[in-house]
Amino acid sequence: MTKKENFLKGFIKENPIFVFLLGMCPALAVTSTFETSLGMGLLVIFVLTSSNIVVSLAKSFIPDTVRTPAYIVIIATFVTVVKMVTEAYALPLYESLGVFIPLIVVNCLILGRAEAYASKNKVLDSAIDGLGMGLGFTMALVMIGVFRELLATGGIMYGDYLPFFVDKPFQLFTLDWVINIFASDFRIADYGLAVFSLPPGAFITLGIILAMFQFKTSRRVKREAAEKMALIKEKKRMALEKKKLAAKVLAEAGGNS
Amino acid sequence: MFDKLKTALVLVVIGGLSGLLIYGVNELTYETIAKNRKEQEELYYKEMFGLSSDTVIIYDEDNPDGELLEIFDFENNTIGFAYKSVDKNQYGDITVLVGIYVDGTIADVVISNTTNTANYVKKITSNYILNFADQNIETYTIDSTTGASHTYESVVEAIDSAKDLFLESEATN
Repeated sequence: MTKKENFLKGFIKENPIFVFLLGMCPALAVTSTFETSLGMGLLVIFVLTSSNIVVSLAKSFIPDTVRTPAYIVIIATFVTVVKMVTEAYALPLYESLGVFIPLIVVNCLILGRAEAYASKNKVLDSAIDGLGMGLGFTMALVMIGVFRELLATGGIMYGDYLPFFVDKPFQLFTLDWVINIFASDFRIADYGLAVFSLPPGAFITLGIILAMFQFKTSRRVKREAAEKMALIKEKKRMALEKKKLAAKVLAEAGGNS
Repeated sequence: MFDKLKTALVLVVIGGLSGLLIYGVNELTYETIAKNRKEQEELYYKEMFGLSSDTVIIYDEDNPDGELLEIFDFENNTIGFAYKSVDKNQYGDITVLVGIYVDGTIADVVISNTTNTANYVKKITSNYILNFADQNIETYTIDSTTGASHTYESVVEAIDSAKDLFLESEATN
């Protein structure tokens, strides 16, 4: 596997949420808005990449009997670090994510990558794997977050929880202007589907996105199977033609003799 | 024997390095965290008493948690009292702020910090705790407005403690 393939595999092919169904707890609990999803994703990227690097560096020193506890201590250290940094520099995000920041420690994705990849590969490859998988995880969270916030409020806000690069919250995207072509003073937020900002909305959204992923995957599998069948048919046809040709040549040779 | 010693040594080294890293980050962030908490607390007090965000609140910073803080406005008039309760319940740590006007009316009850699920706290705050506002601290009711099953015991305890201290300070004055 090339480094590029290693990096990209976490986005679609081996996406932690949509393919492996790992890290479901934050995927359902903190994706009510785009910003909280992005915030959780950034924290996971840091923890996953850092822990993959350290595990890969220390793999030859850690005895097999205490491998998992040692990995958990390493992961817990990075989670404590991000918890303190978030509390210091992004308090609204810290309060919004609440208990789900410490819960990163038990995220199956992180321990899974440490165990399945970082403990068997070189440092650079492990770092690339952690970054790619983290970005794939973040992409999935953001997709769910955008879907939910858009349906619940009709827009996407930025600046409430991630106070970076902006002085005050602003709307990144809104559909109000479309409606206001036909009506005046109409705010989608007043008529939004509030269920999507609540836990049931997370399940519905995840279900819809997983169905879309499965639809695409099954179409690809069907297409690949059809291509394979066509290839086999073609090979059979060619073999049959060869056989016929050989029989013809033989018959002609027999006639001449 | 050697294997066991090696395992123990590796674990000690990992634990030690983890501790050092956490200590270093804590040293770098604890002042900022404390400053954030103080600013947030002040903001809550301002919201409780309907003061503009640029108002300077004077209160005794050395006053420990669990004491009644007297809140003054910029002209040094007492506008009310605030009670801060730091507690631990089955959901983890919880900090509750109770604001009381001079006449005994509850200004607001706020959960300023908690380790419980954020969405759940938001629901409790918006649906139930806000209903404490404008009730008299001496006669406030829990069941009629909040439903005891939906309210943290810690919140109720905080209001009760605030009530006791308020009445005590009324008696001494």
